[in-house]
Amino acid sequence: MAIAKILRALALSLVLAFFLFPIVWILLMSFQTNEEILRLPPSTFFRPTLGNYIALISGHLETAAGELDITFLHNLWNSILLSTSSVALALLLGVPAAYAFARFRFRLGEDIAFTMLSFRFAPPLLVLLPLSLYFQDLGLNDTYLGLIWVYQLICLPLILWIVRGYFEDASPDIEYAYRIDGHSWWRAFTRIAVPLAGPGIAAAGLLSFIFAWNNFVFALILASADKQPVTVGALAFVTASGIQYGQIAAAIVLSILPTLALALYAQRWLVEGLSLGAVKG
Amino acid sequence: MSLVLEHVSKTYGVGASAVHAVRDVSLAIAPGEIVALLGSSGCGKTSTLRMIAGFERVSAGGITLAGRRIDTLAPAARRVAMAFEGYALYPPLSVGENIGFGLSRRLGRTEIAKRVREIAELLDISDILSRRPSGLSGGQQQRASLARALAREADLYLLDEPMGQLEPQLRAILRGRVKALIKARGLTAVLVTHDQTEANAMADRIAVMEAGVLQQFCPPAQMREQPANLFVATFIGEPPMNVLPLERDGNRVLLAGTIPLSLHSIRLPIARTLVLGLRPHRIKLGEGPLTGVVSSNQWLGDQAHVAIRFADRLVVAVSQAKVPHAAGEQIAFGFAEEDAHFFDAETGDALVGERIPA
Repeated sequence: MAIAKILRALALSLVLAFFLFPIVWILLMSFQTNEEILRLPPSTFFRPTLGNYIALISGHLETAAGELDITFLHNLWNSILLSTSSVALALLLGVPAAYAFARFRFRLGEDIAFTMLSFRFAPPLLVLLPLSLYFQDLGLNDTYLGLIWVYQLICLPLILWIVRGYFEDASPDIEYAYRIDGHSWWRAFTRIAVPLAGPGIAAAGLLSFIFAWNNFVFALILASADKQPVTVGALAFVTASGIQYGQIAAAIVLSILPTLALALYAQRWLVEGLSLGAVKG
Repeated sequence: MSLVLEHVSKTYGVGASAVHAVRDVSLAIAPGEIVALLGSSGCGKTSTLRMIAGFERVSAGGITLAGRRIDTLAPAARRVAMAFEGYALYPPLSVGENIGFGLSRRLGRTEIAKRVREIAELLDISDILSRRPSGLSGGQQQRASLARALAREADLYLLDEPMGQLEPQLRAILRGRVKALIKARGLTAVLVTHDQTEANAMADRIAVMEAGVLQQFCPPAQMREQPANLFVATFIGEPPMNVLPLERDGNRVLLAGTIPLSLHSIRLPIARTLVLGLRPHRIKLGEGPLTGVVSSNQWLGDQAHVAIRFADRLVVAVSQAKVPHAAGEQIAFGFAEEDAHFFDAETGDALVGERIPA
């Protein structure tokens, strides 16, 4: 028994070390100067510096090759704005739609639901060229509105399918009981159905937030520098005078903080929501 | 309040794949009456109830409650209360809050608390009023659901299998209490059940449904004595009615093809293929013109169930006294003419033989 316990702990440590190593490495890099990072042979010991973070936050970077303006904080703000708005819009549209798909049988219902899902597995590059042409015609190119719209391809199917499973799990009888007690259909939906599916909605919202946050290619093609999120903004550190590894590392640390915090906070719901909602046919 | 269903039908789907859950059901329920919708699962009784409550639209026909046409109204506007088979209690509320939930706020807090206490006492759930539904047994949740429905003030009370999860002893006690409460308050109730004991015990009239069609609608005693057709005859009663084919040979009626049945007081309609129905309780054992071989003989403590092999069929008879015959022995049996039921073998409809004056 004792040996099994030790072996298990060892295996867990190995797995953890394997998965956490890149993150720890990046965290360490973010406290080093570019010269220390690129030193040969590499050294385990260094004098930690906050220079990278200061450069990111102040927006100015002094390098040997000259001064560089960084819009990282603006990119971070863009990420927050785009992801939050996209998820909010997707919840607004997706939760009632999921309810309809779960509760009512209607013509082409399954086909529509499946089409929504198929948006998830269509390669983005396939739609990007026509989309960017349409966006230029419509004047949606390089606007927050246009990006939020395109982000629905990421968020809406996810929310629709996870939340649908949750609504299907909940017995409609409770809503009926509430309606027969003298309440309207809309109140039964908002007061009974949505709260009962709450964990599923939270899980779906979080997951689609992470997917939206991590998206790269839509914003790269459809938006210019001042609308781009951190994923695209990180490209700015690849400069003519070299790659600013320290700043990239610091930028990565800053940009995974919000999703990390959210995921840690809502871990319980995530696991529960996904296992109950999406997996169950 | 009075409830009237006029030619109500419910069809799911369209075209060739359409399912007719309820076909042309007409019922009139008087104020203060308890009516049981009785049938096996899938017979249309729950669909009928859901149409009355407003969870399903009627495909055709109309429903009138207390003089108001309600089949187009939202459930909230119909003034009906319902106890659900799946309980449907509000999970975040305690049992007491669940029961008081549907009561008008105008009653005031003390009055609501008083009514909750009264109904909880009646249904033996006073001790769980502060508990959440999720921690309760099925029987407790079911009583809470029933209490929530009965506590409300409504024109009509719909009870969908309200006691299915209770233990038999408790069920028998609560049947009496709930019926007494409904009668004392003069409420009108529709009870959906597949348990004929429950229907017999609680209902003033029973509506038997099968395959979406209303088979018979009458008081329990009449349903037993004068079943409208073969389905009702064999569905009502435990053990079920024995069914034996009859053949005509001129003026004689032959039982099982060979044994002439001499009827002195009844003249049957001519030129039909007939079926004879005999209730197990009404078969007389040890005497009579018929003879069979005992297949099994069980003493159940207060009555004997005897299965008799007769003309390639099993005839079940129930006797209040012990029957001495062992399996394999011959036994004579018979029946009184007034206890015989006759049915048209093709349509299943009951045939009322013409009485011959003595």
